[in-house]
Amino acid sequence: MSQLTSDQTGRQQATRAEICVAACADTWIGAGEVLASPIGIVPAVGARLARLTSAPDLVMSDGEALLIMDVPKLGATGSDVGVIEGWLPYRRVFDIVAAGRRQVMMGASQIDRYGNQNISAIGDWRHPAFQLIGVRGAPGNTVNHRTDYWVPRHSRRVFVERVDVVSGVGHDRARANGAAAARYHDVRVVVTDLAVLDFATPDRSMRLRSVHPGVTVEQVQLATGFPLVVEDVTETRLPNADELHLIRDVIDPAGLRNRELPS
Amino acid sequence: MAVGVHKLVTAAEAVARFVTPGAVVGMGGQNINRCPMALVHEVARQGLGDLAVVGCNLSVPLDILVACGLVARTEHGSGNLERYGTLFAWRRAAEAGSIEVRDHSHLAMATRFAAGAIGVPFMPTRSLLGTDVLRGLIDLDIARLMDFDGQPIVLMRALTPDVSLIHVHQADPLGNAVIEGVTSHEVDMVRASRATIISAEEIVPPGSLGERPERVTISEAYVSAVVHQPYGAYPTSAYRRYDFAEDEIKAYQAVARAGGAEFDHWIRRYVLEPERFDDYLDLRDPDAVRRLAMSSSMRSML
Repeated sequence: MSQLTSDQTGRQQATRAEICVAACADTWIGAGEVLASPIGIVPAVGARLARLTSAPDLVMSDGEALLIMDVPKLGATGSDVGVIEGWLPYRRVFDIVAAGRRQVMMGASQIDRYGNQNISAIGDWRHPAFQLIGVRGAPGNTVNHRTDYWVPRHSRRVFVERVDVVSGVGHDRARANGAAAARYHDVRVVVTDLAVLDFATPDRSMRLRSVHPGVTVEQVQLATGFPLVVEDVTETRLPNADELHLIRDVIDPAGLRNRELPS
Repeated sequence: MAVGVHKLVTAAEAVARFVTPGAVVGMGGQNINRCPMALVHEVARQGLGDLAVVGCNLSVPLDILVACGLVARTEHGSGNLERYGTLFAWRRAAEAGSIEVRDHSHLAMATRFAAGAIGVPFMPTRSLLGTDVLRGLIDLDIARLMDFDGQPIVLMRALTPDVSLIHVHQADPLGNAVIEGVTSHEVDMVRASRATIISAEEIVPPGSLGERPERVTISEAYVSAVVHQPYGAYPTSAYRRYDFAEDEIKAYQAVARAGGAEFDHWIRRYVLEPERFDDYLDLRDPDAVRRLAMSSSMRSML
């Protein structure tokens, strides 16, 4: 379907959050039959959108212990999750991580040009000036399977020259730690409220892949604390009418995406 | 003839007997799911301090113990309530330097418990390679970097808590326990622990789990004491029994974030002063409105 205008459908054009949802959804294309673990609302809507469109093989859970066949709306629990196809208790997720049959999109309190991510602490790991959430799954995810990042507020506080505590491993660190760290390392895309970035450069430093409609390259560079590789920057695609219908009416009718990322 | 040690006691008796000051406490549950709230309130009431609290995603039970000044150290993969934010008492204490925080990652913690569960001194993992966390853990002699076939591999030291606290769906008086839905790190953690206190939604007669023995998640061999406590995970959830009480979680986060006298008062009024966990439930949820309202969608699955 072609790009949507409000005239054709009588509906609003895609919001910034919906553009980000589509960008997140595109990270799951070609993932195959792996466990999809999106952290955050926009990534969660994106993964469900991918399962309904471009990546029907994705294995999804209800966020607790059930593997689900249907694609329920965001926040559904109990019988609302629809048809159940299996059981995946938390402990077994670790076996799936180690085997690499998973793809995750995580958050980042800080991220550097090689994709080193920090969610542990600002300051020293032993004596934090500011205690963050904790490293969670970042170390294991990044050396075992594809990991992408979602940053709802692109700023110099997040995109820094050097992160305080490397939690998720970036390309330089993976390289420096031999095949054991680098073999399955696959940090590929960073989706933010301004742009889509990747590491498709010779030295795997961060590149500006596309800016969202209405955002300039300069704006993204100004909000980034290190120089980005800027060449052939495109505009991030808009979700088509089918996708907008799925996002608005099927996956997130409560509009939680717009709360995580107000337009 | 049926024989076995009956371990059914009150929370007060179980905690007094098996939790000691300075203990390494294995914390069951995960963020807003099946946290051992009743047992943790009892630890707080008895004022057992200088604890090292260990687990994967430590949440509100840890925060309450920190708020009561009972925690010296935490070892974990995160300290948060997912969309309801970080743990505020924990964060303040970490930033003030009044507790030591050893942030490991979930996988690294699960690896340490798995080593403890099978009685080996360490477990190898690829996780942590390339991180700054690894450097910190090596300094603390919790992790080592080794060579295997010319490649680096991380060895994580086994973790064997002095006592683990978990909340389960069903248990018999001997300690055979059934967990439905999510089992977190806690099955390995219990197997690695020197003692384990279980609180259960429901106590079933000895032998009644025999019809479906594969449902027994934790064997009595690992269990030191059994406490009967319906809604023992409130305000966190018990899968297919009750959902988490969002209002209560939000109320706690608001007052914990504010800190100061208001928070101290909340802890005193709702954790330290109630004689039993049932009194807390009645204070915070009179007429059981929250406890019952949250069950409807889950009940429809039974």
